Amino acid sequence: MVTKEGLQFHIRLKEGDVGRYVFLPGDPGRCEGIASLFDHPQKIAYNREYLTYTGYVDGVKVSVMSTGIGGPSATIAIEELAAIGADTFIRVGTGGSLHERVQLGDVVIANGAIRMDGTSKEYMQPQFPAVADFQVVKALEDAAKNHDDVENGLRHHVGIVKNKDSYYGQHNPERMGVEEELFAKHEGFVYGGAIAGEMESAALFVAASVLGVRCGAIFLIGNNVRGSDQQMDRASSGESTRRFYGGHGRANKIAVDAVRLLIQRDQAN
Amino acid sequence: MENRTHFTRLTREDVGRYAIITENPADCEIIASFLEDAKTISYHREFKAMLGTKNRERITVLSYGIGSPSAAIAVEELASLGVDTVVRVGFATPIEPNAQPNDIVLATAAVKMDGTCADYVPMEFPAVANYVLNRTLEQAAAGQNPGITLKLGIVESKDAFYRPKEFDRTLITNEFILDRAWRKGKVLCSDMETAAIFVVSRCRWVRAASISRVTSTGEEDITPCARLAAEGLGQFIELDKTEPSGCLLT
Repeated sequence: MVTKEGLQFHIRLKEGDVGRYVFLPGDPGRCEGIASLFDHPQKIAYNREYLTYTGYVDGVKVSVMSTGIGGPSATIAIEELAAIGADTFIRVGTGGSLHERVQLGDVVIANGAIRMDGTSKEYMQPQFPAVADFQVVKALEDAAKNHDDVENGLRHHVGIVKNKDSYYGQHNPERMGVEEELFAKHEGFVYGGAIAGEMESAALFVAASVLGVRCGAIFLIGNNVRGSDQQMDRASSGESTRRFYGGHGRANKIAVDAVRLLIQRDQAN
Repeated sequence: MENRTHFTRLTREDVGRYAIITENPADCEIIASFLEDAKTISYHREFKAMLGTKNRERITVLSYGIGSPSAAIAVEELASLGVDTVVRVGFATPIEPNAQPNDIVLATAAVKMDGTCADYVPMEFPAVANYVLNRTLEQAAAGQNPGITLKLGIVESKDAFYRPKEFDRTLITNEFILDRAWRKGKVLCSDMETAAIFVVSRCRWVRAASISRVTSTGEEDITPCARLAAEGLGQFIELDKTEPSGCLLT
């Protein structure tokens, strides 16, 4: 949908404003950090939660645009960006660990996503899988290997993430009328091997499948879990706060290096 | 009788860590021809088991018959004996134009149109392949001579082979007009077990992949899929020796 000036309605961009490759953080506050890794970044537009910078990586035009929290705003973002020529998306977000081996400061690359969201149901039947684009996962994994800091216990993982719609349904389920369903489903997801939780991947992956574009996702993990009851330790001590906030830089660099690899590989084909 | 698995009638001595599984017992010989020293171990109901080696590691070849229920049993019983890696090789019908007859498809994920997955995980949970195993298979395909072109993407796993394709929409719910939906989702082809194999594997800490030969006549054979599975597992075996087993989660 376009405005009378020909701009995509929500993101207020037109063809030429963005590159083929786009980074999608949730928080507008994280766009500048990613854009600082581009050559010649320029702020292009800022409407609602959609803040856009465009610049160059290895001579190729790329962009970063925030999506806001949740499937509804994120899918509007990918739809409108696809309409103006973007075809490769990397969500760069934050997430919560659901497994003891996935620790605060680690990064998680999503292979598939649990569709506990509403948006993807308005794209495809529930049986349809939310799966990341294979080439994007490969590029993210190759990039992440170079940024592991095993001595300091900072690693990367590839696995299935849980896309929920309700942040407080995850953190305070006992308050909710559907408490039993939330606990039971969560147990099922952990049983199937979910390693982290977040709030946009399933919607983005399913929308990407329908649009015929490539999408992947990488998250910085903000907590540890202990024990079978998944007690959560958040970033409270100075050390863990440093690990988390410093981790954004690491996640951003991995995402940009992944796009470097995609550019090389796309040009070779 | 020693501790044999209930349907597949195997013991720990009959398996290693790696298995290639397939629908039709008659295809086991073809698959085993790509392994060394292969011999038949057992054959009960639709479950024919052969054991061979590659790179000095045991690889079990096991048929599971048609459909997700028996495929799930195969994965469960292999997992209970210590198998942690399963590659399905089989056939699939095309969802044109996304795939064509004779394409070889490596599934990244599967549409869960079966009944078995729902007995394991909530519907929201995706049937997704093991990424590291897929990556190894993709690499193995690229290195093959003569080469094959692999298509990577989503497959559908259904229960009803003869399900109707065309219905008057006024008579039944939209649920039956599914090929059209999957076509829009860029689903490549349709088989009858991949989704359940992926989901059961996840729940049992097994790494799974699925290679399909797309067919519309049913007259092609399993050879290219079998060859790729054996070569890919050979490379994966070497990878397992060098990398930590953290990739179980992927």
